[in-house]
Amino acid sequence: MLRIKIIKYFYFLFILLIILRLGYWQIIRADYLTAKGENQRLNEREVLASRGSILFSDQSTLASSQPMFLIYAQPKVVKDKEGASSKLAGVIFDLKFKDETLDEESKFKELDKLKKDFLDKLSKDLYWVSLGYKVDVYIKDQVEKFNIEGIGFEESSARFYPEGSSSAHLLGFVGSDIYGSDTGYFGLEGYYNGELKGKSGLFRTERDALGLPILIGNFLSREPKVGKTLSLNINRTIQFIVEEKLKKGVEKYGAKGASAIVMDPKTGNILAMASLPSYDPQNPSGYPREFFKNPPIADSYEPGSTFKVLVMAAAINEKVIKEDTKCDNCGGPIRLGGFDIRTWNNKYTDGINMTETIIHSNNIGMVFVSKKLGKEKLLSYIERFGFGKSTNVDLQDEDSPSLRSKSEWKEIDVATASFGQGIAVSALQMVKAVGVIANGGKLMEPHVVKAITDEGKSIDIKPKELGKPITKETAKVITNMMVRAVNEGEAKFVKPDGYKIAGKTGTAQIPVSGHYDPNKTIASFIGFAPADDPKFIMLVRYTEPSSSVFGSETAAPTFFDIAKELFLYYGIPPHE
Amino acid sequence: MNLLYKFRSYPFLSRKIILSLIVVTIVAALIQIWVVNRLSTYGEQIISLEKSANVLELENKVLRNKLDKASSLKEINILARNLGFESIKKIEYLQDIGIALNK
Repeated sequence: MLRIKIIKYFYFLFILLIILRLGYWQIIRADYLTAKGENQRLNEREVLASRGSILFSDQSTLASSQPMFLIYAQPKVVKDKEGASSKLAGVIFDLKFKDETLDEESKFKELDKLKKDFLDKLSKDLYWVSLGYKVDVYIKDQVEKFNIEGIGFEESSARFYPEGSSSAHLLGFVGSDIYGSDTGYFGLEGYYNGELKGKSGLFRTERDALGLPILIGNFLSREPKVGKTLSLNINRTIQFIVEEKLKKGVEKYGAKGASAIVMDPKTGNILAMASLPSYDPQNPSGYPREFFKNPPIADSYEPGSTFKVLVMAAAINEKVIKEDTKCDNCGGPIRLGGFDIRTWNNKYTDGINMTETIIHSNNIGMVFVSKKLGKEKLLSYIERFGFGKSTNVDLQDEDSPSLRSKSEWKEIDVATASFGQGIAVSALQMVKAVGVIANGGKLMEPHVVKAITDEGKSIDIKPKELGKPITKETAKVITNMMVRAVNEGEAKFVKPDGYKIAGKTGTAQIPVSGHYDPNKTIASFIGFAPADDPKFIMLVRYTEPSSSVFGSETAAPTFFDIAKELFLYYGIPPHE
Repeated sequence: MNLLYKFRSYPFLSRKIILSLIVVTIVAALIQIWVVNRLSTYGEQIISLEKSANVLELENKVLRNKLDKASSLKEINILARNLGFESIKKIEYLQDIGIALNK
């Protein structure tokens, strides 16, 4: 009986052990085993979403995606490492030196160096090594032709810019974030990164022992969502013209940098925006970081005489002066707060009227205007024209200079601000503000993107009116003053014949260590045309031109050069 | 009971039915094996089709990029210059002379 009992206990103990062991596998290790089984059986891969395209206003491509490849090797699988290294080196050599003629010795050295690099990688005691990242389809095809066992490819994508480095500042670029994923930086790529990046898809199938998919097995396919497409207001013809003319201008005037903005004053649509020096968005790592910021929105400067039209508009709108009001203290320099204020050419005309003040860009006349207007009203108009706050343009990295608080404005500050000194603005703020004069008194919000398209559905970004700082009548008066400034001012010799263009030159000295350097200026010209029914407003700006410090001799000729091309493009005949 | 009775009454019929059932079952089983075998071995063809689709898709992307590049203003400008085109220097605009013109 005892033996039967012992066998019974052993039997139950054995059963209990089996139950416990099964419980361990079925309950405690269930997730691990399920995952292990699925790993053997299921094949899962992430399908990367293409980044959305960026299109010009005519729907031609400014930025899209191109296929790129990661070339990798499995060193333990590659049999003829020497041979594979030679073949790979040959392909890279042909591509690297396709435009160069090397002598036999240099050729041999370069080839040998490349071969050694590849051999080093293939000789490593690793299962997987990367041979090339973001390699284009041409190289991939060349390598694939060799049919080397143990060399593989993985598709990815990179940005493609058919127009090269055109509009680089406007676009920004695509780089990697801390997780190695593509992310947009600066410009449109940065501002609209969320819309452009899309959503990766997932593809999961059951595989047999040979790794082939089983048709009757489990299947999951989540299609990748391609990023949204941005249609811009940027007109590629105007952008091309502006970039070409700026390049020529920088060379001709020996400037350190240049920028230009062309905007439709009626809608606030940005038609072109360009800056020099520029960079290649395909290869941003080859440029210093300072090159990446977009000067028209990220750099602040003193606008100089271009600001006069805004102060004059404020004074006329407030009816404290009229266009024929005469200045009663313009006979010579004036002293304010311990500083002498002079005209740019040290010539003085007593009794000069307000139109002549704008035509001859007279600083003393503007001080007269600022006194008539007063500090409170001047500051109120500066704010109403949109200074001291962001323009809300849809570009990353906008840096709008702030205004000093009211209590900090002294008499001398009000006087100098009237001719654009001691006040910092961005180029886009200036275009937005002067656009008020071109648009019958209405302030428009500037926009680069016209529409965002997602899977066939398009969301239009409509023009947005922000306010009406001045009346239509005031705008008309200032327009006439600006037309006369073009026809009779310093830049009259470079103006295209027969066209009615409203404009104003600006030459602002650059503050250096607490004083203004007379040889370092920012020369600019802002204007719109045709003056009676403007198609565009444009600002051209040169930083530290060396051939001449004046806007009338540098920025104005470039402005008129671009304007001539725009008249031709829009089919606008001369009015005379 | 009624059916069993009928089978017992017609032994020839019952044998025929049983035989038919066995044949149908065997044929169905064979078809099942063939279908499952075909379906599970279609993987190779799927892989081949997948590869073809990928190649075509890649080719499509490359062609689209080439088309974009060829139609870029940068390329057109170079081509126009090489072909001897020049920008217009002087334009004559037709003035409105106040006379209706025949088409």
